[in-house]
Amino acid sequence: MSGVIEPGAYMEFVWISYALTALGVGGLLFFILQERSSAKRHLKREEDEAGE
Amino acid sequence: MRAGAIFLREARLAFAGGGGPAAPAAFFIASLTLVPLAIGQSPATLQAAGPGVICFAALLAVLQGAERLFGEDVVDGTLEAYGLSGLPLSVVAIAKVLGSVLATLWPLPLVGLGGGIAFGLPVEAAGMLALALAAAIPGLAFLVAIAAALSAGARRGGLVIALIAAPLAIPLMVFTASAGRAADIGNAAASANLLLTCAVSLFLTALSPFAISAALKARLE
Amino acid sequence: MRPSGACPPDQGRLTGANIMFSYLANPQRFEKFSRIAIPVCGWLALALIAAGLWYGLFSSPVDRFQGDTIRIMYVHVPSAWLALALYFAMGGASFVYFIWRHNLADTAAASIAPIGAVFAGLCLITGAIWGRPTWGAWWVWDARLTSMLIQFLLFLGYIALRAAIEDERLAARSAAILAMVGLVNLPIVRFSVEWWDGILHQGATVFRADGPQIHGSQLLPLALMAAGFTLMAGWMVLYRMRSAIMARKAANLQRLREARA
Repeated sequence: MSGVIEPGAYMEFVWISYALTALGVGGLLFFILQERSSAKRHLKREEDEAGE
Repeated sequence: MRAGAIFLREARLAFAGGGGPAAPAAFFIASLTLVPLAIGQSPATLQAAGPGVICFAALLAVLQGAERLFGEDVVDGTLEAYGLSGLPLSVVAIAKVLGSVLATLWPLPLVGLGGGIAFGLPVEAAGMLALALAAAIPGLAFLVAIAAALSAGARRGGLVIALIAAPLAIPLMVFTASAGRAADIGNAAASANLLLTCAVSLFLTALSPFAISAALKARLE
Repeated sequence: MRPSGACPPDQGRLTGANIMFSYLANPQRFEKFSRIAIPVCGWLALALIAAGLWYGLFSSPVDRFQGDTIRIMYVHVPSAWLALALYFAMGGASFVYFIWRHNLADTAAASIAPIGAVFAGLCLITGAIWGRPTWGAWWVWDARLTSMLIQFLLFLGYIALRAAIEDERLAARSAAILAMVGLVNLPIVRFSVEWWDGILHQGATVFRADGPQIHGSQLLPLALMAAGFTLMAGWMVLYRMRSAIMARKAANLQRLREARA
């Protein structure tokens, strides 16, 4: 292995790894927000029930 | 109830329900038989892969009986009887695991020896591998027992046991297989690996009962 | 691992984590704390990551040896750091829960697990993508990659165990024991993997990703991204903890309602 990579080479690898990281973090965020909204909905329903 | 009684009960149960040492040994032999059929019969490949494959198959054989170890006690109330017996749960754990190890797992090093020879290892290397397996099995059994105690009463417990135990079993896999491999190529590191296997196995044997007893205690409350 | 015979609570009061959880165990206090901490973490994380992305992708020079592929480091290394830090945080929270039974500590551990698993997974994927041009292989069984794979499996085991036990309290206790066992075992696992790596790759010269030394112009984006990722993970954990508290409150109300009916 000569061990030197030219600048600009393999740029697609860089973009793909950033895109996959964004995808992973984005998916996690989606899951976390989804979880919150379902917890909120459940809590609201129960509080409405209790209030009546 | 004394620890000896639990030990004997466990050993008897292994013979009554699970066929004693036959089941893990047969499972071990069966998985070793499949290996050459899967990876090819080239002697060089088999010799190189032998120690690792044998350790791996031994882990599977230990895992195979794990679900029974605590699962039934939780369901049928035996665990409550142990809890009321006044014995510390860690002593119960030691008695149970040792009882089942001595009743069911003792043939594994012998099968490992035969397997090593069948895979083309020199006799000394196969012997070293069998020795390392014998040293590793108590530690493996206790480790698997932690996983079994933690997932007792869980849905699809067997699957969870395997998933939990696999990463924790890495040190024993590494040192045991390395002992066999080093002995195969005539490397002096074999005995160092054997000693490390003993050390890790002892460490696990000494500390696992506390984890097992904590897991059992949580199931009694 | 708990010594038999319960530990008198006063003896352990000095542990920092315990003080923190004792303070926050009061739901109102946690509510107040998280109301400030969540937005602070979130916005700071956003700003730091934005700056880190700018420096990392556009405004930092290429590496002498690795060219532009060095830029993968700015997402790879923070993910690796988070995976490890979150594992220790999960183990610490599990310990606090196990000894002092603060439910909040268990909520924290449960909130951490999937986040840690995602970052460990991201670290593995970006590592593979980085390995292809620099090592010439997607995957090399070297000590660090293998350790991260093990870390990933430990998170998965924790999540699977929690999911498999129906009784919530039993699931929490079991998962806490597992996390502590994993934490005690981690040094041995690491040592064995280093040992194994030494046997396997003796004398092999792999073009290591960490090059000779890190240059200042690379340190800035790396530090920005690492700090940003850490705050982002903090935001995620606190946000999930609040969701879990809401969900528990709702479940309690539901149980009450069903008991009355």
